[in-house]
Amino acid sequence: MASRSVKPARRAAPSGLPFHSRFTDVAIKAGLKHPVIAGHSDRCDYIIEAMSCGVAFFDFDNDGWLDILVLSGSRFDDPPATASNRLYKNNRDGTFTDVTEKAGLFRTGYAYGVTVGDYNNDGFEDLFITYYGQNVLYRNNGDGTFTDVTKEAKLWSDAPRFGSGCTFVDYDRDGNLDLFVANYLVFDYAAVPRAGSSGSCNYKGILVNCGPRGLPYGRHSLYRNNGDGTFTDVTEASGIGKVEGGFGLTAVAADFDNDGWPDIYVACDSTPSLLFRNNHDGTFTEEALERGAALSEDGMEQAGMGLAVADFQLDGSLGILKTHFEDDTVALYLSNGKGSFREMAMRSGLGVETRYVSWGVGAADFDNDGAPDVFWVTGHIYPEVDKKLPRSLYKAPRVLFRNLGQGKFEQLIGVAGPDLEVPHCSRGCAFGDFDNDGDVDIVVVNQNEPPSLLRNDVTSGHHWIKVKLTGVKSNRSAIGARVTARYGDRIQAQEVMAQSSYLSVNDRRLHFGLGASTSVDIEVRWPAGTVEKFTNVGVDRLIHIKEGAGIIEQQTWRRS
Amino acid sequence: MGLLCAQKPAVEQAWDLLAQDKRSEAVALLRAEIGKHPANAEARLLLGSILAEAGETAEAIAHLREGVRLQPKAAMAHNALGEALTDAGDIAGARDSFRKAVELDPQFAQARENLGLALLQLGDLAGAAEQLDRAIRLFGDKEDAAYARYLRARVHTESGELEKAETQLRRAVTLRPAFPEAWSDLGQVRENLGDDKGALAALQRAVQLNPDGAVAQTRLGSLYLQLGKPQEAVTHLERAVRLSPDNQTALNSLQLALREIGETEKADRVKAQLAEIFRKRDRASQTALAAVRLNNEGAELEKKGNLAAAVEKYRAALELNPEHAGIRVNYAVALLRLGQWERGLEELRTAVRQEPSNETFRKALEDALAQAPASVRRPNLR
Repeated sequence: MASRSVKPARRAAPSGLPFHSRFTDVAIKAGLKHPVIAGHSDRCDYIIEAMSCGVAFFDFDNDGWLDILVLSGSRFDDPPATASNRLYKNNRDGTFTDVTEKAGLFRTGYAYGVTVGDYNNDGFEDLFITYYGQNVLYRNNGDGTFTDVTKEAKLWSDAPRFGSGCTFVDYDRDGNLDLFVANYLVFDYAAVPRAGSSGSCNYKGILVNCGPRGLPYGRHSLYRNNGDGTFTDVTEASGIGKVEGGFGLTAVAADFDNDGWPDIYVACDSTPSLLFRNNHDGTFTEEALERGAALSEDGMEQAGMGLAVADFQLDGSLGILKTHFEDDTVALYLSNGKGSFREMAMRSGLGVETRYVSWGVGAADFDNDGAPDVFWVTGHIYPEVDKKLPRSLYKAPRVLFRNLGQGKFEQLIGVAGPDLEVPHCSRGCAFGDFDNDGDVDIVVVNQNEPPSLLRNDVTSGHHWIKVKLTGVKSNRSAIGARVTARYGDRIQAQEVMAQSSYLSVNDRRLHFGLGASTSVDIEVRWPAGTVEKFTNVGVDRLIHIKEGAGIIEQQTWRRS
Repeated sequence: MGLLCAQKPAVEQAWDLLAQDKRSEAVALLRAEIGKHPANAEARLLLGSILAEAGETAEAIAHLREGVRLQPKAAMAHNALGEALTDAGDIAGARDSFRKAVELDPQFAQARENLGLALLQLGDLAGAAEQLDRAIRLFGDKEDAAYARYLRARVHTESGELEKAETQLRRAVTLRPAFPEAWSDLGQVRENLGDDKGALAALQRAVQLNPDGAVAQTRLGSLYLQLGKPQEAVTHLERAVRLSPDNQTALNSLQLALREIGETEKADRVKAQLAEIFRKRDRASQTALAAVRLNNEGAELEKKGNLAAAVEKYRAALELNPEHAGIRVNYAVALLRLGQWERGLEELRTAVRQEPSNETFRKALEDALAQAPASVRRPNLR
């Protein structure tokens, strides 16, 4: 892991504005009980234990309520037999039921990333999960069960890999979801010194697990969906394979240059991050350095872990926020609308927080005031720091920033409820409205603890709208669709994505806070390229838009 | 003249020679004097200072240590030793010498400034602040206080007290207007305070005073880029890269600025330079980890009693990463266990030189010397 050892930016005077959002951790009451195993609570022997995993909010049974898939890692010594990914079905009353075994998803091992999408366009969301060892594609059978179809889909690899980021993306816009997979590094027990052993790696005088520096890069892959349930490895043909690599973690696919085609961005740990620009002909060109999205403002590599993609400036273009190691700021890459970026963490106010190792991150409008706020989770990579380095916290609080507008953010400490201050060692987190009450809740992976489920309760009376999309000519999950909302004097773009945060998946129903606006104009640009516009849409509701068929359903929920 | 000189004490003669810019003659004279009179503290202190200034730190430190031993109450002597130790990179040792100097002479402003700097380098911000505040008071409102104020600003910056840092830096450049580093830091602090106009003015002044200041050129160029003035940025960033070819900040800002003004080919060449830096770092990391792996294999072999094979592994590890003092100690100890005293002791001495403040290494050398046959011992641990 690399840190720039930067000093935090100066905090501006508090805005004094109220923040009408409170988070309460309801995980235990909701039934999210299984701990996520990641090494031991006091040590991680190898880097494969320490990186841990993501989580997904998705509706596997199409009942309109978000279910939760929590991944799990393991440990080298004494791996618990119950350390499996867990699927929790939403009971629609604030509680969940563990249906892992019934769904056929029990699997031990080192899981890292997840992407959700309907790869076979049958109307049910499928899963792809990366592992150290063998990645897995699960087909959703539509009856509450999943089948491992990795081999028949031709995604099997004979050689073990350290899969990390993964995202479904229809890169050729043919209506079938393709698959990008990042690999973190090449790991071999026999070749990597174990933490604490004589001559193991050293962090500030403490013997710790080795990597990523010094280990060979993982190689990133692209698989084209053949439309018949199988995939073809197009890594070389697409140009993805031309890139030497980088310690790739979270991968996001979105249209970063507003040309209508999905690009792919990969947060890289300790190496320059990668931006694969879509050339519209089945190939990509990696241009992160050229486009100003690879490094910090001062030209340094950072320990890229998590990613949030949002219209931070409310100008109709997507920017990228990337989380990093302690003693470093996040990176905020703001777009010029043409695919080039300027890193603005220090100038935006986000650079005031440098204390924690930071992971899963999201930009969502938590208080529905009409602008995306920022939330990220934290936790050190080395459990060993707890006893030996007083300034480094293995378990640390959550981080929340309010969007003040005009590219400025303000950190909120102790404002959005005490449960955000409870320290955990966290990794992935996902953002979605699990209780269908018109706001954005958060589920968080905590290492060697059960997850947190942070229920958001908004008291502002601000309005909101959620947009659910179903593709017809486009892929059915509508991954890559761009929704632009106009409300009051504001404009905000969002895209349906299949991975972000840290190796995690958010609710794919797009949520827009609208402030005081009582109507909104919605424009949908479908992945296939067609654009549909809906004017003067009512607020405080979920609208379901089907490609070519308009708004096919509206659900008016109680305002939270 | 020769007769007159002969009647003067050697130290005075040396001073005369230095005044005539005859440094080597002065050094020769002082060496001869010390050869004749080893207890001549003044000669040792002057010789040590001359050698330190010339970068001959090892011999300088030896003379200054002896000078301090002979004149333990001389604050100047402790200060001179501290400065030589600073030059040698032994900041902790330097701190102790400066501390002794200010204990002996609490009004010794230069020693307080030096102590403040050493404490700052060692991360003791509170201690550094105290010493620098006292140095500033002792220097008074004169040009001599400019450097202490510049350092005090650094402490404020490290503590996140940017407004206070700005005040100190403004005072520093008032006292010494031709102080480019202070102007440069003033620019940086103002940028962090959101005062882009003030930052620009200060950085422009810094590069005007010292066009060869790579840091100021980088800061000014990067600020121009942030402010949407890529053409102006390019001028300063190109100069920064010429001055400091491995400067990642300058290289990255330069390739971005060149693209913004349409100089894509030039930008690609700069990007290639930047990429080469990343590749070099990767290679170095891989080599370092391979060395650790070989070292571990050596340790395993040693545990199994196969000392000869272990030595070979340690040697190979050290070849890959000669800077790793821990591996060197393993190698040395294995050599000693094989009875190869001379090579083992030499490796231990090297490890101690690599990490002079590592007490474990020092103790290992002392123990080894105590057990070594008389024929291979050398008394000096340094």
